[in-house]
Amino acid sequence: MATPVEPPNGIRTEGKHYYSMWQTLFEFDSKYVPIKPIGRGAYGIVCSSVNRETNEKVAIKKIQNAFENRVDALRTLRELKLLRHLHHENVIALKDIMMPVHRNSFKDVYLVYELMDTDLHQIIKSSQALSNDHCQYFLFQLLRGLKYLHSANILHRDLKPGNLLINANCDLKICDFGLARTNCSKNQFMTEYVVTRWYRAPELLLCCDNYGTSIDVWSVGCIFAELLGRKPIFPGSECLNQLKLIINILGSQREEDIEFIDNPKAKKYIKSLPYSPGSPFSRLYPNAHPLAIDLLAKMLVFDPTKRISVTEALQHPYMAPLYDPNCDPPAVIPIDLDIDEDLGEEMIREMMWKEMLHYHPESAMENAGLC
Amino acid sequence: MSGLEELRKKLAPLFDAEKGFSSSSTLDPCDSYTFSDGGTVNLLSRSYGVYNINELGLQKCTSRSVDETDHSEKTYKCCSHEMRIFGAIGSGASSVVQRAIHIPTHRILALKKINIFEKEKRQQLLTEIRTLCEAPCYEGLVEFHGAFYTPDSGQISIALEYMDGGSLADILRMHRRIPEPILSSMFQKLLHGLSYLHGVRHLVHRDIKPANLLVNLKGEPKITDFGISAGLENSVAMCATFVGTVTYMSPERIRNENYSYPADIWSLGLALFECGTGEFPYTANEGPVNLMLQILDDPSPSPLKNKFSPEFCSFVDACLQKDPDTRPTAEQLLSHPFITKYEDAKVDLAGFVRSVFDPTQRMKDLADMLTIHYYLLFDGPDDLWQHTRNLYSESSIFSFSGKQHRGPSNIFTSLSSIRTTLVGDWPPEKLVHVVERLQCRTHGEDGVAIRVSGSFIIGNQFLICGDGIQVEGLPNFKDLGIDIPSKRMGTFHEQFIVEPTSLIGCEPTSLIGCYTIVKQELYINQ
Repeated sequence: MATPVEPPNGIRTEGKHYYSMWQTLFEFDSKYVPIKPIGRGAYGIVCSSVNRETNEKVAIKKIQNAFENRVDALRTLRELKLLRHLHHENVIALKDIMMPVHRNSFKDVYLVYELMDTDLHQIIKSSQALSNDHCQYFLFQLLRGLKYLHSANILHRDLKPGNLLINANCDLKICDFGLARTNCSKNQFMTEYVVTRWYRAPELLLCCDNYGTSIDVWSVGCIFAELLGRKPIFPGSECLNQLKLIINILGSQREEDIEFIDNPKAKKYIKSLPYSPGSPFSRLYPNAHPLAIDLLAKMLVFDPTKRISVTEALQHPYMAPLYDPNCDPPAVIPIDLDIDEDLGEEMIREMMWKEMLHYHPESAMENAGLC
Repeated sequence: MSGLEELRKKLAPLFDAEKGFSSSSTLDPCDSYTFSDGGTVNLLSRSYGVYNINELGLQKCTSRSVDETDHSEKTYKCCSHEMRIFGAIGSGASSVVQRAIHIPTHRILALKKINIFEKEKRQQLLTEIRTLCEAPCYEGLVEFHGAFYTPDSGQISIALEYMDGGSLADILRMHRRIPEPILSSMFQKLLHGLSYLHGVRHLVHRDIKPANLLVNLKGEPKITDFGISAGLENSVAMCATFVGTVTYMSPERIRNENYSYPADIWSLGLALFECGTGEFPYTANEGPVNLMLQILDDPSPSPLKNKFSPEFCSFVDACLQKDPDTRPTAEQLLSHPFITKYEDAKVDLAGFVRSVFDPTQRMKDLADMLTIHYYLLFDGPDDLWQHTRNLYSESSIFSFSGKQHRGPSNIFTSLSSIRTTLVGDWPPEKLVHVVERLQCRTHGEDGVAIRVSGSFIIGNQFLICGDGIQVEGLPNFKDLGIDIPSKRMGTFHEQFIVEPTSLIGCEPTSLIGCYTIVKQELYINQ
């Protein structure tokens, strides 16, 4: 499905070759040969490829017109800065960023990732049977990867099945760090609403300040429930509806469990919802392992201060047989993720170029020579 | 670690690693629409008929809707290869808007680009195309000029009337608030558009807000983006992140009740409140739940009686009735005292808009676009060059080498002769223009005088120096590393006087946004 084509404008650039896939033009470094397109969406177009120098299979994502939308450009930049420092078997590895021909005016960005076969969203909605072993292994890897992130003070903030990549042998890797922040980010005005709504923690829906790592744990709980039930547990149609669904399942909250809500209007709203006795998870997921139910109940706790942490979850009886603390070192490198939200297009492009240099030391030398 | 190793051995593979995971829906780009060879996208939508969109434009075929009164086939000629695309002028929730020039007509357009491969956005696009196809050229609504699909980027582009003033949200960012007489005149025209949408097209806009209320430099206000957010609110896309949003949604919408035209009236009232006071009346920075609860529970916002006229307060209060059944219709609001009060006052909307936006910058942008457009035609392929003929009117004058040529035919012949000479002896390369300096000033009321100077070099395409507006497909001059003095084969100076195409003839509105060169002088030094 990948067709070699002539370069645009008839200008062939040394070190590049050109392919057309799904009516889209790709400009690849010569060492990458495409196999087939494997996905496309708002984020861009992805195809599997072979690195001829290493015979390794990779996934190449083309982000078209990367700077057209400033917010998306910032997300891309943030992900690049972050992934350069993250090295963990349950976090997707960014292997290369192709250098564009024109430093000051390039529009497309080509990212080279390790190749994964599919994502958890596809698995969940397929007819593929999942045993308790599968759920246990997926959850374990997710928690282990998340522990690594949280040890570096990184909140993912957009965990959902589509952002968890899966291989045939059930390996799992977390991806899409466009919304990630450090936990100690300075209190900037949140003009972004984080986390896809169905996986959004109550404290985010209610706009409490000072949220922390517990928002990711809530998302994990939602994903875990979706693995067990094969459909989203809280598919809210909008924010207020989302809260209703949560209360309906968890049950009406006691006074002490909503003390964390600092917005009086929101607190009043929670209190005004009709009484709900709640639905035990054992009834929602009758075939699930009892220990899985117990862990799920500890994750999907309304009050973030009472929610289980990632470390505690890994020590829970459902996970403990798989977890060896000695084989799970924390991320060591302190990472400064704070990007000025007001960066203009030229500066974003320049910073993205600098990220590329980390994958192309030879180009960095050339640039040093020029200066 | 033994527990983990044991589990790994026990796990059955989910699928054959060699074959990969065959999910039959998301990964297949042809799912739910027909993607024929040659790059034509057939958007299938029940009850809306079939729309073919490809590089050659949009064609509506075989209407199936029962309420469709007009069954004739409609074709909008608007092709991707006939577009000169310049930089983006904004980003909406689901699209990017760019400026473009339609080469055959030399019309400046706004291109809304939408990623077709998201299901929700495809539905929005269908809604918008339907609205735009059926509502051409109505006062208070932006004009639709066609749509096309660009295979290289995988996007559908909708060509809309270019509103060179920007939006009311832009005005508020710079001016803080808009005076009542201006608002009265503007909202009268917007109400005509809304009345048409509700009363004739039976459509709810669903996203009335200052950012979707545009103005041009003539002071004409128009509604845009109808349909863009139609399906967005409850789509999966809404579950994703979005930026800097405040909600203009009515209480009944927030409660997930049935809503209709009155929801737009609520949004219009909020927009008017914000434009008049300079402030969005609710606290927006405490999250979406808090904002929604304010709209549901708090009393409707009302302007301060001692700072605004009784008519303004009355209009806002009427629109912001919580009970949708008690809100007036757009038609009724046209008779409201706030609107009728200034009906005969000859409010100078154009003057206001020009006082807010820097006319100099707008003129510079226009000059950049038109200059680039002209030289891309001149130094471009022969088939595009043919379109240059209708850049001139019967009274246009071109001066060169001591001679004057009048009228499109004579000017075209003369320019073609110069063009042939410049092709010279270096095929496929030829002498092309490098614009090094561009100056402009106003000419008359709407015209612009452009003075260009630069060099001729041997190459295969036109180039422009400097940091002005960039056009897609043209390399950035700085990236090429060309040393002009050493490559210079001659120099040129050229002056243009460009005016909006005169609205004379049977279809005056079809020429809105087009430009004519009324005077041109060229000097070449070899």
